[in-house]
Amino acid sequence: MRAILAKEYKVYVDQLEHFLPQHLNQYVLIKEQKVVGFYDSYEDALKRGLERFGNVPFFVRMVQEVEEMHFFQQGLSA
Amino acid sequence: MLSRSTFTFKLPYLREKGPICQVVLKPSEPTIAKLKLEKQKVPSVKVWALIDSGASTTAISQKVVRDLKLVPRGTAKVYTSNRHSEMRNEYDISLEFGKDIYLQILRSLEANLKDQTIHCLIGRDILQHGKLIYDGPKNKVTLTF
Repeated sequence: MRAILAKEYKVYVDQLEHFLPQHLNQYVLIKEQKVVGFYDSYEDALKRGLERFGNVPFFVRMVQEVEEMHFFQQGLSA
Repeated sequence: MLSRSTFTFKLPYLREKGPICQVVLKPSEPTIAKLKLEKQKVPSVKVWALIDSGASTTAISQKVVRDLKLVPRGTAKVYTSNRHSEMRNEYDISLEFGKDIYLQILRSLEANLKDQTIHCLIGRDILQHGKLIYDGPKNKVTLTF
């Protein structure tokens, strides 16, 4: 299993400092390493991505100071 | 996201298997709308899911990703019980419990699930919206939103 949107993730991480002052808690849409825009909800960002690019991979993430951590205590293989 | 509904399921082997139930998974509603606009077939799968209060986020198996022809909408850092972290793909799906509970947009992570019969972990991102009652003596689980 590989993270297909690793490059877009890197764009997010690299530019996070610039996003935070004006876009905290908004959702950023990134496609092919370019920032498309910021939206008030995941749904809005998703709809915009689908409308503009179609049903293809694109990156949506809430702008947050601290990255959300996802935990699985069981059920997953290593 | 949710209308007020109750989903109850009885399991003869609740202690052994845990709170598992059948759910219907599809792409999210916005993706379904896009597929319909393009006159494409909307994929759907009915799978066994484990209600897992130890999972912070809902997860789906690679088989579900393949069957629903999902494409990633993000990546996320995941920590497992062996203290390792890795990047996983994130997908937008919809999820139905029974007839009355339908979540139209749900972000879920791709996961290698140990139990090959389970293809979805219902995480705390869903449970935070409702009330979960685990009735051991009656082998019954009730989920109310």
